[in-house]
Amino acid sequence: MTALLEAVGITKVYDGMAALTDVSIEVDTAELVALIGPNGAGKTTLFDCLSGVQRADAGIVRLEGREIEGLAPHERARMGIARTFQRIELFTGMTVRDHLLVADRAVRRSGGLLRDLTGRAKPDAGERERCDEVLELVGLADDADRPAHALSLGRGRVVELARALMCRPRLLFLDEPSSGLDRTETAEMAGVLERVMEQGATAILLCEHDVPFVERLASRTYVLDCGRRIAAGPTRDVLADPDVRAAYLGQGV
Amino acid sequence: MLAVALGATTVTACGNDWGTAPEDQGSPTTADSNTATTSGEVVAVDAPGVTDTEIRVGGVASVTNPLGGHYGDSFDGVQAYFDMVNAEGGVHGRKLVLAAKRDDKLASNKAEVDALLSVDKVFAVLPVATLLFTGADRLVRDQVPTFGWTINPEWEAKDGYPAYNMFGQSGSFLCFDCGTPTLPWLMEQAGAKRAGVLAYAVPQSADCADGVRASFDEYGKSTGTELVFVDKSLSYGPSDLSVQVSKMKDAKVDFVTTCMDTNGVVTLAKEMKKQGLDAVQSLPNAYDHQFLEEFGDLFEGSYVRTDFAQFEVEDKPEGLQLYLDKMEEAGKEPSENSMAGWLNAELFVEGLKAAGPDFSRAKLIDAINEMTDFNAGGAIDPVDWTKAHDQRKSDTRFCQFLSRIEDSTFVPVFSKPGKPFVCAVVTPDGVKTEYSA
Amino acid sequence: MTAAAAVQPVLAAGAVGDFFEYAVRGIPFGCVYALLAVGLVLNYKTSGVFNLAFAAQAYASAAVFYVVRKEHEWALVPAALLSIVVVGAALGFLLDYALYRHQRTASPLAKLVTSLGLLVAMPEMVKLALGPGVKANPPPLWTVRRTDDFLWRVGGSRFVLDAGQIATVLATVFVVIGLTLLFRRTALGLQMRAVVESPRLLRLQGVDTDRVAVVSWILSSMLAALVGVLLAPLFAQLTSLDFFTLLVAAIAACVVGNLTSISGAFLGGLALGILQAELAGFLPTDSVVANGLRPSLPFVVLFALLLIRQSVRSARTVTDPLAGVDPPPDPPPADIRPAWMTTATRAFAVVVIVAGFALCAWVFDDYWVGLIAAGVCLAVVMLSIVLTTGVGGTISLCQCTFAAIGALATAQLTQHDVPVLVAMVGGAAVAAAVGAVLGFPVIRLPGIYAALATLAFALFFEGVLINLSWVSGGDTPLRVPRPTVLGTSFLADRPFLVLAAAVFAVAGVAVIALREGTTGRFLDAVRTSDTAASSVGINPARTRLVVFVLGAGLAGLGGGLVASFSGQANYSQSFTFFIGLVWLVLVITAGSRSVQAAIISGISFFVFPALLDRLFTWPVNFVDTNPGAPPWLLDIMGFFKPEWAQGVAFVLFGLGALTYAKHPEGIIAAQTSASIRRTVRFVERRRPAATSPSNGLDLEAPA
Repeated sequence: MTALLEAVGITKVYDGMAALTDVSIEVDTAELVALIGPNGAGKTTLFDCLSGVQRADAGIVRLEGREIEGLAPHERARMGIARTFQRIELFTGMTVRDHLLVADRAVRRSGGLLRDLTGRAKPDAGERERCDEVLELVGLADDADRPAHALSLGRGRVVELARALMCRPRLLFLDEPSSGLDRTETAEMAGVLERVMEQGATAILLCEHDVPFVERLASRTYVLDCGRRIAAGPTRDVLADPDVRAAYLGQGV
Repeated sequence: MLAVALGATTVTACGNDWGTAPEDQGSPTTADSNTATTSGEVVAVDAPGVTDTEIRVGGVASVTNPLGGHYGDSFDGVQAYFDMVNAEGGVHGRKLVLAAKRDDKLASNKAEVDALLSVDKVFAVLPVATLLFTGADRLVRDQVPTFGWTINPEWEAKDGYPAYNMFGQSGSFLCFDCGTPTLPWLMEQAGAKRAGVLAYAVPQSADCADGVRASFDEYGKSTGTELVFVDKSLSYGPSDLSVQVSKMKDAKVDFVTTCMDTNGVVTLAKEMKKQGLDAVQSLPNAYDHQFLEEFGDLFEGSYVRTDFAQFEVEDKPEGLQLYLDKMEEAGKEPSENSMAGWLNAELFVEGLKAAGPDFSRAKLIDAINEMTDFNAGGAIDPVDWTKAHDQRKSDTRFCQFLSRIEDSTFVPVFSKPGKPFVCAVVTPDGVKTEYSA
Repeated sequence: MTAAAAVQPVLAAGAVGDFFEYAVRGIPFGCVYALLAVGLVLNYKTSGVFNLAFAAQAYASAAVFYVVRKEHEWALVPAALLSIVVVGAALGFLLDYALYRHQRTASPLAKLVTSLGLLVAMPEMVKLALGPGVKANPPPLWTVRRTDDFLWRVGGSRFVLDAGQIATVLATVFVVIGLTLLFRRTALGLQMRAVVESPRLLRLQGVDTDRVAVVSWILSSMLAALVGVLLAPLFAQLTSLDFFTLLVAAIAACVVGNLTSISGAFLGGLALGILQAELAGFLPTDSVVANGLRPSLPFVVLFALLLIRQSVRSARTVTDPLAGVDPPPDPPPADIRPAWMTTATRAFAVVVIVAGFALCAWVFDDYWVGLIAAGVCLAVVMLSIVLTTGVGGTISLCQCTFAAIGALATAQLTQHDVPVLVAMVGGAAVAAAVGAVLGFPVIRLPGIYAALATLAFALFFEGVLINLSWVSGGDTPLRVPRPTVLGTSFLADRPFLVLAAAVFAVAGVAVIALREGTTGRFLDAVRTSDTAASSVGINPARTRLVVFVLGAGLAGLGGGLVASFSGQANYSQSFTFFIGLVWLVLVITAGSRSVQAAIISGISFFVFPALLDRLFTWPVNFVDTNPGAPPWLLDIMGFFKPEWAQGVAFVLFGLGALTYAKHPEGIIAAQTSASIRRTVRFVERRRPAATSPSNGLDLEAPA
């Protein structure tokens, strides 16, 4: 059986500086994999290459064995790849529910000019149900009609997560979901992710600094340093690796 | 697709209203028939803007248009003429009142023209001196007598455009791309042989260059002149003419004419001076004393043409002298614009007199269109208004007033005492010179 | 100049010689482009503002120089010092202190809008202050009376430079070298660049960013002043529009330098000048190619550069290393509008509309009804600006061009006896098709570049296409009839007003449906961030393109309406680029997302100058009709001049845009929501028991 996501030999060069060199990575259905590494290791660049925001200079990306290199980000999203952002990217001027609705309609391609012009822009029963389901899952039901920008950073990250989940992703990239969150918020986020994993429909690739967070959630972990993969394996083993400790944990985390 | 579908359903229901002229426009049939008239007595007239004591007219000019055009002077000419007529008792027992001086600003020529009719309720529209004349259609539709400065194509009557109520300062015929013998004739007189012409790539300017080309095609051989350089691809606005002038120099051009604005003409003259191209210039729109003061030295020996006798002419025709005197009385500088306004006012008043004491708009228009030699007291070459709307005065006789710039002044040339205008006359033996009063 | 001498021997060698000769001839005018381009680049690089008002600043200083040097006959040095150093610096200080300081974190587009407002307002302010008269023969920045009073022959060759050209070439060289050194070698130069890229990082290093910014503005404004005074003698008369025409031609040169490279802009300017001379030399003067290409060269080059340069396309990346720590901008306050308030505002709207029609039908005279009807027709075009720019987020400087295309197509169709209403729909379709072809590349460009590409298209249309008789119909504008429907004629202005209002209403409802519906939400998402929007499956390019095309079509429809109302499709009267700029500024000021703003700005465009005209004419009439009034009163009344109206209207239109930074949603929207909030608070306080279900956004409002 092929892996859900398979990236082989990803290389990306900016202005002569190698941001990624020959990085390979695999994610299986419904597993949570972590990606760790110091700042500037190339984690976000790798996410960008996998989700199509950047085009890799070399390498192959496959989703369930189908090559997706060359597809635009929105096409990958419609194939079931969703993501969140390290620097939070909420849509301006929208409520939490709007965020979810937009994602739902974009992925299902069920919104459009004709629908707007014929006065059928309001959500139908199915859409409302799907939104409520996700809001319930991530614990945002009480904030559903508040403007997303009025929420705390922690809740904002949950909104991003909920928005990504509305895409019914098979694969979800989370870019430092705990960054900027306090202890309680981090714990809440971990709880939400565990609930998502329990549903068994989504695989997650998680890029993180918070080691306890990774230890709690991830079954396997990849380590990037200076654009190279320096370690891979079950989380416990990887975190015990002396090289990893030198490159990463040694820096005083 | 949508357009086609919609078209199919609406084509039967929708139509176009081109606003054809209503018949019998304001003709005072009752007043007309039963009133015997003797001059000096006020006859009741049922026409817009006319009371027992006044005839109200109004005009529109470009005064504060941010795109340019400072034509407000034309009001002065009209006012001066009206003051003179009113001092002598007015026309048909009524005073002439310039009741509205409208400024068409940036984009409201049509609105201002509409306002002259609907708000100011004027009898006739004069003067008109505007960059654009979008109100013209309404004036033609309503057959309102209109007098102005013919710088817009709307002045001309053409197939399907019956602008017989529109009167320019000296005829209304405009044809930018028609050939005339004037330029080749002038070159012959000036002893020049090889001509160059420059124009912008905008319609009026490029058409003008085509007109120059046609002139030389037709009359070049008989006058021993030829057109050797044409550039009508210049961009409007500031540009560099270095290449064009060097090419003209290589082509041994000795006579240059342009279809450009002041900017272009001055840029060209500077460049000619720089490269030492010694050629005579013919300047179409340069009878402007401020222009001469600033740039006269660049144009030494150039020719400037006008429709009217220029102010410097020695033996001044009566009409011109009157204008100059009245402008002095009013404390205004004479100018091309106010002269146009004056000529408009004079044609209006003469037409009114000819229309009789029971005048109406239609009678005024008809009266003018029967005049065969209106010459504003000799200030312009006579205009035959029976045909001046849609054809040139003559196919063989082309008259104008010409001066040459010498020591930064306009020095009238080719004008004889009592005959200020000079005509290029086409004969089977070539183009001959004649003089006209 | 040494190049000229060196080239001399090869001149005889036929085409190659010609090539060199033309190239050398193109250099002085290339320097004109280069100087302007360098000024724009300096401005952009050190302030983040793509300052189209640079032309207006140049004009202001040139006008001051004209007045003191020519009318008051000052000596050269004090006149130059006053107009370049004093006025230039003061203007720069003022712009920073009063405007751009408060916009430092605003988007580049907000800054562009501010500069457009200044571009409209500033020349009219100068005219009001210094007098509206013709300023003929601007004096050179040289001791001679006119530039051609000093000629310098280059080594006995055919090449001659005049005082103006020598000054321009020298100034260009000095400015380029000076600025290059400033940015490469000095701490101040580094700080000036850094203040745009990351003011926070700079502050962390203990640099006073406000001081650096004000120095930048003073420097670029002084350069604008120098450019203005130096280039003024190129024109026989001093007008602001000529400077603007030159400036937009220079934009192509800026793009060569990617908007940030001084040397790139310099080389770009030079290349443009040379290319222009080569085309003038080699293209047969009467050919179609020459007629099309030569007048539009800068815009064709600009457009081509924008489309082919990869670096431009990827310029969307964030350069600020501290951008991540930037707090998100304050969210616009959500309109919490209880149901009764919605009913109340709707009722109010109905009252206003009914009252408006009643006034037009029975109170206003034909003049005002005509202006209002023209305004309502224009409002449809304004609505297209709301759709494209406000809702769609693309700053389009060519909506006036789409309107023109619609008008011309309508006119052409009616020549073939197509009913005018059908022709208008056809015109809209043609405009939409052109919009699709143009939009396909343009909407992929990052913000400011998209604006520049639309500007290039508008100027290309104005410079070339409109001159073709199959487009414009030749010298005389094509006539357009007014419609009749089922025997009802709309020939008179009042019925036409009703028709125009109906068209506007239908279009307005459609725009609201799009804005509030999924399309609007998708666009909000795209405007926030392409990356975020595409992460949920939105295709940003397609979403933008659809709205751009619809906007073009709507503008075309409005253009057809305008043409039918005015009886002709007259480009120069109704649709020029300059007029389009004023429209854009007006709509954005009033509220770029608001349908009410479209109708209000449409009507004000015509009614406001006319109102001011009456306002300023009244004192004059008072003086004329009351000669017996006290002399002091007559003096005061005599102070007002009717010819102020147009200028004051433009100043107010332009200055309105300056509020954009504070109220990006627009004055009208800001006022509306403020008064709604006030009313809601007032009522709620009186009925503390009443609960208001908050359903701010229609999308999830229960039906």
